[in-house]
Amino acid sequence: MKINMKYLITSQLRVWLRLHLPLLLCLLAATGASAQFGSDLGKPAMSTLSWDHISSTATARTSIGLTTDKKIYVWGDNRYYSIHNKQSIASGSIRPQQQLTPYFVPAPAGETPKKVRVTASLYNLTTSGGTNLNTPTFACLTESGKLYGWGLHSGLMGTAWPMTTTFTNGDTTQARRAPIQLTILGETSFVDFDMPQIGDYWIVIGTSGKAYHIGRKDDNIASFNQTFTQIPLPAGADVNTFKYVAVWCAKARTSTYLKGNDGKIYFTGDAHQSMATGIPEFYFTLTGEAGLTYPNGTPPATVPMGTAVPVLVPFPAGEDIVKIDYVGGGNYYNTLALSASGKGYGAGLWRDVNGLKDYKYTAFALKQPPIPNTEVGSFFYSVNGDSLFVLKRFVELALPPGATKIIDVAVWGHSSTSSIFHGSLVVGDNNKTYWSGRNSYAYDQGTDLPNFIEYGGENISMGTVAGECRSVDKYWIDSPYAWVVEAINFQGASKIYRMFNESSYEGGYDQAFIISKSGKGYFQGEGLANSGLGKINPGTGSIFNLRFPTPIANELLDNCNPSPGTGGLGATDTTPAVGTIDCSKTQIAPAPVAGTPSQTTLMVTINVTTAGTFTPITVSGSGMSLGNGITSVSTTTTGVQTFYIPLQYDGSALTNAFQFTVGSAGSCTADLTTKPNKQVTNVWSLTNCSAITPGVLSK
Amino acid sequence: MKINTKYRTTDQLRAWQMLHLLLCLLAATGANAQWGADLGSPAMSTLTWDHISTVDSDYADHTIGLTKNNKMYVWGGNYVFTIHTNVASTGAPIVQTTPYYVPSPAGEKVIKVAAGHGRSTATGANVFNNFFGCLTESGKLYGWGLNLGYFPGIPSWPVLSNSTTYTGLAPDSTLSKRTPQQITILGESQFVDFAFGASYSNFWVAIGASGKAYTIGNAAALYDGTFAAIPIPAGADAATFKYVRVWTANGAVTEGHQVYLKGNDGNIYYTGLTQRVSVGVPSYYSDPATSTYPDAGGNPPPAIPNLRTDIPRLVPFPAGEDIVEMKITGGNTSIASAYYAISASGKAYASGFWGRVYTYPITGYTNKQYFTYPLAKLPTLNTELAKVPYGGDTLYILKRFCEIAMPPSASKIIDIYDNGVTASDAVNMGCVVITDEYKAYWAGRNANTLNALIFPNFLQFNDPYNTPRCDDTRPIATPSKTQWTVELINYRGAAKICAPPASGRMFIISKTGRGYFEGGIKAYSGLGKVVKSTTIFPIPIANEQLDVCNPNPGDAGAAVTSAPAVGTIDCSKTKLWPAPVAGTPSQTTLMVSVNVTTAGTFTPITVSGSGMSLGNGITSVSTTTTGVQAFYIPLNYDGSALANTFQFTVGSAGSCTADLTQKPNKQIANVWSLTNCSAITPGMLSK
Repeated sequence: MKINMKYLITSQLRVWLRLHLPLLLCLLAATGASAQFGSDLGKPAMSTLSWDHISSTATARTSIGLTTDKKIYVWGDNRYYSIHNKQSIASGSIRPQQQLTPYFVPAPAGETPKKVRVTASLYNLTTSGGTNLNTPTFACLTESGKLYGWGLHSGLMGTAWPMTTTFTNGDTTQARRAPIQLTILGETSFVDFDMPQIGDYWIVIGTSGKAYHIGRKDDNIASFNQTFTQIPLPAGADVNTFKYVAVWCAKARTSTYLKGNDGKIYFTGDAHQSMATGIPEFYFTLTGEAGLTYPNGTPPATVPMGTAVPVLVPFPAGEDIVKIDYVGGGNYYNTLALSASGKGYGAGLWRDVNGLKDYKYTAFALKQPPIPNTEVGSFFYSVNGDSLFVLKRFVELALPPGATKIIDVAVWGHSSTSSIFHGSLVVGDNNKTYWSGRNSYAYDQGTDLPNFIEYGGENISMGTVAGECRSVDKYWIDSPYAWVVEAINFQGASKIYRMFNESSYEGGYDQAFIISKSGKGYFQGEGLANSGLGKINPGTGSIFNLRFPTPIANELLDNCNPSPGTGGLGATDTTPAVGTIDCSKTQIAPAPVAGTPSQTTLMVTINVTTAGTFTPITVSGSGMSLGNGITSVSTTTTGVQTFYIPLQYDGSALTNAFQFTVGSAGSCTADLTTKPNKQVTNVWSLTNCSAITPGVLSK
Repeated sequence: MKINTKYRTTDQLRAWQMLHLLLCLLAATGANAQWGADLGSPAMSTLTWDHISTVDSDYADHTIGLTKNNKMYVWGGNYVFTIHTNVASTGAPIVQTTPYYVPSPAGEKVIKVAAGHGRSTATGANVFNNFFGCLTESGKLYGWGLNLGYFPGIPSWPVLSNSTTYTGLAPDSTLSKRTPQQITILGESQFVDFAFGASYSNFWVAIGASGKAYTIGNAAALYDGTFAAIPIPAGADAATFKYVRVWTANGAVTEGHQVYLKGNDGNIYYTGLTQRVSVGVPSYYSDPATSTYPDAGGNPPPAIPNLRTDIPRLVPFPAGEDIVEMKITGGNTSIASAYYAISASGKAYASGFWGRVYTYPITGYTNKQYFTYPLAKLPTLNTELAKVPYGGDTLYILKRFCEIAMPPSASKIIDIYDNGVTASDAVNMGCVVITDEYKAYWAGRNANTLNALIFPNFLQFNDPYNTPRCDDTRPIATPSKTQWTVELINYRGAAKICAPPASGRMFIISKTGRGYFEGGIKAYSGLGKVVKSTTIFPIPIANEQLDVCNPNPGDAGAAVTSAPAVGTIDCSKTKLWPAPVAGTPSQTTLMVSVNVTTAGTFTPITVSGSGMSLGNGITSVSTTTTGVQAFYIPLNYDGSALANTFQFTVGSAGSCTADLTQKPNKQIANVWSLTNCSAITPGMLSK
């Protein structure tokens, strides 16, 4: 393809790219597939597991994932021996041996897991045990409705097993490393649960429709339910018929969205200074240093989760919300929701126009302009020079280019105390990811702009400022009604799980897992033990910071992994085959006509003793080369069988120096100066074969 | 593929198009479901590299690469506008973080490229002395960038005043040349090799077709801004002797004023600094404890060598070995330097620092020793090996080049990389070799700190010589003197490592030619963005074609191995040959007739129905000619019932559907039944 020798000016190139990008991408996708990191370099290093979802917390350095074939894996620093009881010695003292690749946890007998979570909590050990090291606690819900917990019980597991209040170094007996079935207030069957990344609480919904809370109730860590408590029904709900059916916890605060069997979404918990709840009466404006006013209602009090009445969160009638990505409290933030019909919704901080620092950005693109006052409020915050536009309720997002549905949403901003670094990602059903927002001043943010191209602190896509192409610092997009920047590094993604630096919102760790459409898991951000990349920075200084998606490491090759499981579905796709060629049974059919370039087929007979793949294949001599990009032949069975290898004949003279090799099965040489023989073969001449017209694909 | 027939509206058509796009993407991912294949594939450059040369220091940040089809690309900080003239509003050059195409001189085919930097010139402070060089197949040598005296006598590229400090961000794009300028040295305009020295060693060497080796710059105290010929070795016949190759510590930041030369006698010669333990000239062995030359016979080498006058000394190798590659550590102190060589026969050799035996176990470890490369056989004490007391420990130093051990199952070593990270002490040293099976092996000892952690593996190391630690990779110390024990899984598939010596950053070129970067990220990394980060996993070079900031990304077609073909299937000419026997799993061939109007590659290919699937990993068919032709697609038949719903698609050429319930027909065809075909025994490849 002839490209842009003549497009010497950036703007011309840009135009050219806009015109040709889809073709180019398809071409690249088609041709570059087998020649990238993980396929032509380092492939064995990558895990073959396919993930349905992953839950992770940097605060407790622990992750849990459920594979698409419903297997549970955990990884992390194994603090409190929550993963296994292996020990190592560091600096002369015993400590848990870290687990840096996925560690298989058998599901309870007869049960098929469908949802897994891990949360970090520090309540009990902090208040009783004099340590502030967050503990990991795991939970899992199975398809039959059984709920299980394990890990270290720092106050979140009720009476399931004894709570840990003090921890002695080297004590492997405190944590539970296999799922323990939970019974909550007599109920043993459940429909959903969720855990924050950190928050010292979690929520469970029984088959009865009751929602249960345990742990911290609000900002005050001393306010703690040590036993499960039933969450009240929404105001006006019929106690005989209303049921809670789903729950989404904030990532880092004591607040939660619940879904009722009326299809509605309700919010409970800490709404203190949160712009992003999507509840109109909680809307507030910033009027000066720490000054808040609530023009639409009374400032929400600090409401204790567990006893406060959940508040309706308005969505369009009939929308079936299936995910809410909510960070938590703080003056700033946006929240994103996803519906079963493939629509995205956003609430909270939407746009920021700053006159002092000369930037303006849109945190997410809306389908249409929001209705002033009803849907969007705006105010000028003189302290920072921000003109902020805040969505008081959830408003529908624009579809990203080329998508017919949104299949995932992720809040990508990372500041609770400032409006200047906020963004969003949406994944379309074309598995393309789009970004909007503004990234950081400091270009050492872990996740920043998930793109590989430098941008220059200006808005290339809107064309309002000439591109400077210097860095991705302070890059911003102000496109309120269209997604304009594809996160090319994430092309092919199906799910994005963005973790937030939970303990302090800022200055902590930025991390994300990306699951591709084929289920492979990737990590991006600050690499800690919960990243699953097989190694962490061993030093005491800074940590590895992965700016590009990095595959989860292959647990099967980790000889430090005491329970690597059996690998993923793709684990065997490169098993080498073993066998022996029978050179004398080789055929080339049809025999090429000397001097006439053509394709033909080399038929090689091999007695296969181990099924798998024979590679490499080589042919040489007589103008023959491998056709159609073939590099290997594969079989799933053993025994004598014939492999069909397309050859390209270039019309050269046919000689006696034709040679070929089929992997380890052997090599043969043959004389093509002999005359071909006639052979009668059963062939389907598919004269009934008919074309398929696009749009009329069936016969 | 069962598709609804009712698509009629635009939306339906769009959905259909979407499906095609998805098919395209699916075809692209195939079984290789990893980053770059199933995630982010378009973000990766499709260029395939022959070699890459990079310089990184406080005053240099630039890379040049030569593709397998001999095209040049550069990227980096664009200091003093050495790459392009794009300028930011501040007046500073805009960095170039993806490969930027530099057209070769008209009619010339480039065979070697290098990035260069000189810390200073004769008068000192011209710190942004950044340049590039290339050699062509016809023997022409070119340079471009900033000329602060390293390229005198080129009318089109005059030497700039040495009195001016050219800061990297200077808003003057007229100072640098951005296209290759032909170099003539002392009247000679034909060359066979060249090498730029390390950043702070301030010299470079070119070898003329005459066999003369020219140098300019030289060591700091002997700086000369004119070219001079390096003397020929002692005893060489001036009438016949020629230098034919040169190697330096190119790209090293620290001073490494060292040169290996190869003569037309097949021998390797050394000139330059010798206080580096052992450069492989036995009489130049320098005892690190005493800083003396015990084997020099009272005739030690000069303390400050002058490349213009010092006589290069023979570096002994086994007779008949054809050395094709030398690697210089480039360290700035003596004890931790090692030197490597690779022969045409696939053997590797090393001289200099070999290992260290400690009095006490290594911190956090039970080992008391590590060796940075295992040897094919243990060296002979005194003639080959020196054991030197060092801080209570013992250093093992090779006085001459000794053969490195062959990694498990390999028959050749195809590349070698010095993996030392600090030259100030023999603490963190290592070596990586790449085998003809494209596996990389590591030996040595790594460090305790992040910046020095250059253990390129993805797993925390379970030390076989210790109780399992499994917590981190520090320190790893391989104690074996004779065996490679650690494969670098992250590098499986690598063919070449291009890196400044001992820099902790490198370009890895896979066997298919794709380029990856690992190490501290700057503009020279070519990753499409500059972030304050050190990547510890190989990251693909970013796709220059999608970089809207790249003023000249070149021709993507040059990188993509095959352009899309255009044509039309003639469904009625389709054959399945031989016809599968219903119920019996087998392979067969789908023969598809396509009228090709544009040569190239048809992809994706899909088949479905009647238990048929694509065989042997095929994803495309290709042709270099137009016209009606048959493509042969191997199929796997799984023995399912043969039905009337067999369908296939061949890229954009179209889709067909056929009924396999009908009976096959007999057909007579010319077939080579190669009954004369005979097995080839390994080692006896010819008949």
